[in-house]
Amino acid sequence: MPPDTISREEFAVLIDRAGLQLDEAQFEAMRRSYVHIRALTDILRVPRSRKTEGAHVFHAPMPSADKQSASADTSISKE
Amino acid sequence: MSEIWKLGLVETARLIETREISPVEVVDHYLDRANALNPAVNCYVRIEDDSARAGAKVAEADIMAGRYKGAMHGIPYALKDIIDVAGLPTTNGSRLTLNEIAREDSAVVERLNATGAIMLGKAETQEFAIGGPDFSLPHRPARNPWDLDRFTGGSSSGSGAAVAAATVPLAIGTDTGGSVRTPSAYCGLAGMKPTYGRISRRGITQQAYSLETAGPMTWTVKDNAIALEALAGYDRLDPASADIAPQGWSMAVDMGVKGMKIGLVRNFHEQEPDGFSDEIVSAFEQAAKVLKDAGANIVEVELSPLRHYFAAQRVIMYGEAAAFHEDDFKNNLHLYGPFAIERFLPGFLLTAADYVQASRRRGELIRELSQAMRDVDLLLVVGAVGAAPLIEGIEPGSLLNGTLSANAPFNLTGSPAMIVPTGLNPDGLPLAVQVVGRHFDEFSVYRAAQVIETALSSRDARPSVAAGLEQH
Repeated sequence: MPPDTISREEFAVLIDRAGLQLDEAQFEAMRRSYVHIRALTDILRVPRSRKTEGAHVFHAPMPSADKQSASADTSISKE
Repeated sequence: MSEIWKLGLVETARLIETREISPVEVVDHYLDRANALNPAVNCYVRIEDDSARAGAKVAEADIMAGRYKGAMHGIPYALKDIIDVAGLPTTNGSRLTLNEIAREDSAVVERLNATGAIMLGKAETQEFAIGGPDFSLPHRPARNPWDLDRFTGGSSSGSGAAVAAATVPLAIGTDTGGSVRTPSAYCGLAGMKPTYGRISRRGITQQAYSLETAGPMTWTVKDNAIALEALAGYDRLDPASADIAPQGWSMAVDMGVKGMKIGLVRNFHEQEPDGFSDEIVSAFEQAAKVLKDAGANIVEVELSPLRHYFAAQRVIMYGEAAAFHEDDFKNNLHLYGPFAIERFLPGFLLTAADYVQASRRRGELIRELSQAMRDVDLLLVVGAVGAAPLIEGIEPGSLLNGTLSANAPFNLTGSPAMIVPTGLNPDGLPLAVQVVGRHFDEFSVYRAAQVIETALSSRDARPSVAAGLEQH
């Protein structure tokens, strides 16, 4: 279960890490909403095998693609 | 002809083709309506009188010279103001980009131009397609034509209001978590979120790149199908564009649903008894009965709880949006409105692991849905959570207070999903239901949508603000 709230000190750490500067009203509004954000992220954690495939599949650029473009293909595909 | 606005796209197109009316007459008529109604409805941030009239004259000349291009030729449309038109500002409803001029047409506009359609104006949008009805921004929020004290839904708010007020027969919206479908439901429209990849995203301001797509919003299902035929198609410049040919979707509306197998997803709303109004659940049941009576084989389908789909969609949306807005949030936060700030900020509080977990969950839920849809042609799902709420009572934090959406799951899965009107509630506000198809099977969606529309939603009933103009 998500915590009922988060302290001002703990929340300030998260905002600092994000590199944001919020005024007092924004800070408090988001601190109050934080419980809902954690509720969303908690639902995502369902039991999985350690063998479960990762969320994204990285494909190395094919040799022919290397010839066409000097930049690596950094695209990801889902599913 | 004094009642062109009542004709809709299909009949207007027929009359243009047979030269019974001219595109000039059509565009003049809709421009008059748009200019007269916009002060009350706020559906447009700019109306392009001169270019629209010039386009109409070109269309008229082409048609008179025997160069008729098809059903969209001479049809006016509105464009959500996050979609680029060369030479015009794409404001995104934000002070940040109020004066940013687009250098090129978006792919959507390229396609519509090629069909001979005519852009009438840029439709109001919530800030960067996520902020709510924010009265602190330069563009005032659109009002719901069915009741001007009520919300249109968002974020394609102006697009929904523009069609409901009959200032245009077609508007283009975008949908990342329901932004075509919620305004369509609240404004009584047919609103299609096609399969992800059907319509190119090139030239559309990103909100969450792996979830969003453009989609047509129209008065009728058949109008919608014709519009999608114009909008869909492969674009090699959009990495997510699908190289799958568009189908003749307008043919679907005459086919009925006899023999189709349609799954009712009741567990989404039954597991959330406080989440959806009784009248929305009633609309769902009415639509199910209509489909059964029309010869469909109705079965029950149970998916994972709505909250699971919703959580994965929201975390991905917040994460991708935060990456897009990171620089401006650090350096220009004061330029955003309070709705956009509160709705983008969650993305800055997520961890990398949260995003990956959401993406893993996405894969699992896509597999679940695909498995369920091997046995059925379509799903029927509740649409909006209720009828349109009052606009004044909506607070910036309302997107975070636990409110669910039955639209979001199908952005997560990339499935085609359409809002279909089911009539009006006792207060005269539209209700709707949602039809969901297999990936790239918009054809089946339109078949069922037409059956529901025909049975439940008289398209003769119009908002008083739209009809009232005719009497003045």
